[in-house]
Amino acid sequence: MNRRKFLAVTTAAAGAGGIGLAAVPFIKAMSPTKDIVAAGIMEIDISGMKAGELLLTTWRRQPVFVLKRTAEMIEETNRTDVAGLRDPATPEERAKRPDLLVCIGICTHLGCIPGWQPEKVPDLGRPGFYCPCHGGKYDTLGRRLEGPPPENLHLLPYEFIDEKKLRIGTNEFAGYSENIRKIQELPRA
Amino acid sequence: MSTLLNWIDRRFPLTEFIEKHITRYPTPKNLNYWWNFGSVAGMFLLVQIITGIWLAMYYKPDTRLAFDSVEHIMRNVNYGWLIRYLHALGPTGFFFAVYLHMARGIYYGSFRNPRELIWWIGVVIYLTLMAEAFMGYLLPWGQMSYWGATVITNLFSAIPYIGPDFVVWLRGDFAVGDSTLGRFFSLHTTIIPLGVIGLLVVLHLTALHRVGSGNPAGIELDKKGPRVIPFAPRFITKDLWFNSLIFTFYLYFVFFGPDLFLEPINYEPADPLVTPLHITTEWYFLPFYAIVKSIPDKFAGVLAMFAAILILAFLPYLDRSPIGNARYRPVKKVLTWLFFFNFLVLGYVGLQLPAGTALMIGRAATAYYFLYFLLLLLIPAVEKTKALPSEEEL
Repeated sequence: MNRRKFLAVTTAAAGAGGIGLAAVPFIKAMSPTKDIVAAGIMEIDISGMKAGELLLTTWRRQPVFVLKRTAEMIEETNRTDVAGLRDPATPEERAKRPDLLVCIGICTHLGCIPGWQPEKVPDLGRPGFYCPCHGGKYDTLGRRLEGPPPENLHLLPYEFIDEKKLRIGTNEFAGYSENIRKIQELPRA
Repeated sequence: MSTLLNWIDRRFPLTEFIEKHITRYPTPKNLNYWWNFGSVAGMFLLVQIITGIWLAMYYKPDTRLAFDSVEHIMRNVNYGWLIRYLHALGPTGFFFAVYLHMARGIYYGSFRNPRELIWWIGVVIYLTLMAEAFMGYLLPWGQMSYWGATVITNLFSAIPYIGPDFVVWLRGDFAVGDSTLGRFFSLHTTIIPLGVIGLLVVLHLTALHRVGSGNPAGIELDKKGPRVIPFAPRFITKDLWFNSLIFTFYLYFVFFGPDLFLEPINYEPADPLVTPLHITTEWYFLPFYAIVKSIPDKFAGVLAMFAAILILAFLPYLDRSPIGNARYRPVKKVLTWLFFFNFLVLGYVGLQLPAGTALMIGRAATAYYFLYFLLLLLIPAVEKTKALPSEEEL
């Protein structure tokens, strides 16, 4: 390599590096703004919930399911063969307390909101969530049972403040692309 | 790589274009640093376009939201402060480069045959740039934004007969308001930067590449001769390092002193019922603001201000000496340096209240501004020019 070639290559490399670094703030400027991220914590009153009741709320503009599960639902999900699931997860991995499911209400197939079927999901014979768009079926723990969804419903950080109150979200958790389906993998709320 | 290039070149003159307009563009080897500022201006145009695209992602052109959306950008958008400061200080760098670029043209006679068209396109770019900067300044919807726009749009009320109606039409309301903000935002972000300035810059360069660059020696160089060399690598390198230097100074102010160029009162939201005590313009408009303030008659003042810009277009016909380059013209040299100094004096006067000494200085400086062009027309009769060098001597 001669001198001119060397200078040309190093200059081009420095220039490319400079442009790459200069692009960082512009790329980051397109991420959710600080006020959106900061508004990521909210409290939910769960004191009045009856067994079998679904509470639909929104967190970071996404639907969130809070389901108070009945004893039959708990028993039914305990009986489910975990190894037979497309996205295997035990009940302990899906809920902090057996009687309460907290998850993001977005179908993991193409993003519709699955409907709550308290009696029976069509052609399934048990309660759960049924997505009207392409027929995705989930049990009362949000685990995918049938249909095109590749994964169980995603989870979000939450903790119990006391018997009546639930705190969900985080002011750090990005809220997108996180794709967490097991309680144990969640960041602290 | 070369296979791909061949494939493209058979269908599109890519290599030909790059060689013709960049790498092999014949460039006089005696260019000094005054010839760098066109490229510096181009760099700032690019910075303004890129940062502007990003600001428009979050900015809201609505009088109820505009001010807060700028604060939202400053506080909440990731690196929003950086992008906004880059954009707010860009015009300072841009006009700095443009003024030196124009001074080069005046001093070395770059506007003369065969470069009149390049010069005229340049004058229009300059005018458009002023309009672009002025409209952009309204967008943050601060006190100075509002009152600056009020005063400048009011200039047009000086037009006889149609003036007042024209101002209402211009604003789209009886005072600067939501309609004004909307149209300024639309023009500032679409047709003016891309359609007008972008297109004119392409025309400016196309015309330049037809006749070739001038040079400080005052003679036209033979494009095939040894005094004219390909643009690459020498001038690419020279432009790169010099642009980097200017950009470093620019970034110094962006990071360590952005408020040196921003009016504190513009951090107060626009209030149509309270005029700030002292209305100033951005520094790059000050000399023309001084001309308006120096002339007691409203219509004459406004006319003089526009004339001060438009008279530049007549330079090819005002400066009729056989030699344009001030280096070989002792009288033009002195008058031109005086003209540059006078321009700075006008800028200083633009900051002062129009009274007392400042007013007197302003009037004298305004007079010299116009006198310069008259003198350019007259001096060839008495000026003894120096001998031009021959190409062999360079």
